[in-house]
Amino acid sequence: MLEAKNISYDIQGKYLIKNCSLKIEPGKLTAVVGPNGAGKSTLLKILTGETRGFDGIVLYNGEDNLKINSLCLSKLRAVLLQDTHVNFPFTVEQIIEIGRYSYQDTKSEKNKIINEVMMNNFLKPYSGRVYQTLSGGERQRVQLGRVMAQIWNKTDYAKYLLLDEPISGLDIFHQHALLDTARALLMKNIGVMAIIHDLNLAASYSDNMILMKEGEIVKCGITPDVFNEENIEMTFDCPVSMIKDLETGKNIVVSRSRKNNINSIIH
Amino acid sequence: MKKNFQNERISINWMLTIAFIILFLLFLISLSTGAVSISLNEIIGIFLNNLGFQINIGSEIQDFVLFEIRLPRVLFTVLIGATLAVSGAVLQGLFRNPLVEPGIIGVSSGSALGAFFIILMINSLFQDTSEQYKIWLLPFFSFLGGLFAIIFTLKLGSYQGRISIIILILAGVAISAMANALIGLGIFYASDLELRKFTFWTLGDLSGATWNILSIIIFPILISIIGLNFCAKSLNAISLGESEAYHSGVNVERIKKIIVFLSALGVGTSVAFAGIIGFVGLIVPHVIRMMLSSDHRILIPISGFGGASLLLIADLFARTVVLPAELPIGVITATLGTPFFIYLLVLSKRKNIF
Repeated sequence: MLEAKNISYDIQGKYLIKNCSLKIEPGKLTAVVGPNGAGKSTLLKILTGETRGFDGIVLYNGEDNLKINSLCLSKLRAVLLQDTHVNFPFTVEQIIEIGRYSYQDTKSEKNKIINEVMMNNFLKPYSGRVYQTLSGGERQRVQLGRVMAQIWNKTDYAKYLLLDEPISGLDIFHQHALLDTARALLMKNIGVMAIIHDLNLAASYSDNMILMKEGEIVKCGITPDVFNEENIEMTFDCPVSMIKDLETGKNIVVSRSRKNNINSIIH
Repeated sequence: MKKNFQNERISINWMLTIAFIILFLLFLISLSTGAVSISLNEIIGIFLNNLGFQINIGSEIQDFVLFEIRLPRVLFTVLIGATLAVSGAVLQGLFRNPLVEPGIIGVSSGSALGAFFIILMINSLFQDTSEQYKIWLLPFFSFLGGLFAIIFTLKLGSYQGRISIIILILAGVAISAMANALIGLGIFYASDLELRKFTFWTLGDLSGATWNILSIIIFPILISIIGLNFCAKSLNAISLGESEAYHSGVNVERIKKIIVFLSALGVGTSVAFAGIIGFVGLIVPHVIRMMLSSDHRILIPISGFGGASLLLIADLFARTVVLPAELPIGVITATLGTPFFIYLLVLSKRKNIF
């Protein structure tokens, strides 16, 4: 269990995170949604151990994340950011291998894991390719491969994958491919947390959902309970309606312009 | 798109072997070339003679030139070239920018300031110090100057622990400008003799190499080169960004400090004893990246061999082109390096690296 208890974080008195508590369970995908500036990425940075000096405590399987050194922490959790910029020409394999930084693999072990991860992300055709020559979607798949390699080993403890807007800017094929791969990891005793802007993708791929607004968690729970018109409107200050996808029977959110409402306020 | 694929089939051991053979050949050529020519036969003969075998090849003059002049100089050149290129490679990796070289981030100017300070002050501040210790003062202060410069540049160039490349390079420019201003002030007060000493120091000079100096520089330079080779894996991770490196398990803040310290140690020592030799640290890692790999486990050691080889070639030019005089080595590397640097700028403009 990855647990955050009563997290508050301020910069010069301005609170970016206010008293947030959450649980990321292994085997479950938790989606975090909320408007820009709600503090989602800040919260994720606190969970990863990157941001320090907050109030409250973050526990990885019961251990305080600030007391675990970066090497051990990297064996507990992997992080994928929206866009990873690489300035030098590295090959796909070299990028993925970086995920194995903390491990003392033999050459054959390392190659086996790189190979498996590449298979999982459909990266085989890109073997030996230079990262910079790939498209945005392909690059993100390589990066997912890298963070998967980091938590690939079978362990008796649970591990976590934290994704910060992993699918922003990707086409629908790559969005689904990436989220499918992330869900496949749940079977390996891994808990996934993903900040996702696309509400429908967030809803259809997540088990649990957290709604954030102005640094606070306004709603959290299992996705069907949280994902409804009232909660989404309240979180985003934007009129929405729910319609049903006849194919899957799932709810789909459609947003509408606020223009009429704004006019009514002005007049 | 011709460089879509990189050749990974050549193993690191082969690359190292080939790089070593090239360096060794240049080493022999450097030993045999100069005002007094010594053939390969004679080199081997003289070595064997000194090992106690009675082989009558090579004159006494050749023996003296080989052991007291050329061998220390060639070894000196190898060490300086290697440490400059290795430092260049790791600093480019750390700052994630292919245009970084120790000069750009202020180390050279800082070292120059430190060196000039001690050239000016050695007689007034340290007149009671014995000669035995005085030879340590110039490198020590030069090193200190370089260290301060790089620390200031890093502090200025980073915000909330993140380094902004543009600000970093501008910070380097600012630190260099400040150091140069202070050097200018020093020049105003300096005597002609001090000025001449300093001017030649800034152009780089490998001719002062002695066994004594070699025994001083070998430890800091080897510590720097060997230590930086251990940072290769972390630098690969840092290539993705500092956050990504931290997430992968790298203790980023610690590795940054180690790299800054070790490269300042190498470059500071090199600048202190050989003056400012530009562009070796910029060109060599670039060529290695283009030819072989960006993987720092390959890049760093091969850059070491490459830097040593390049500086040996430059030194061969420097001491043979205008015989019996000698061109300052910095003039050669800058003449070779500047067009290459401009070429890189044009290239990175096309590739949108900035």
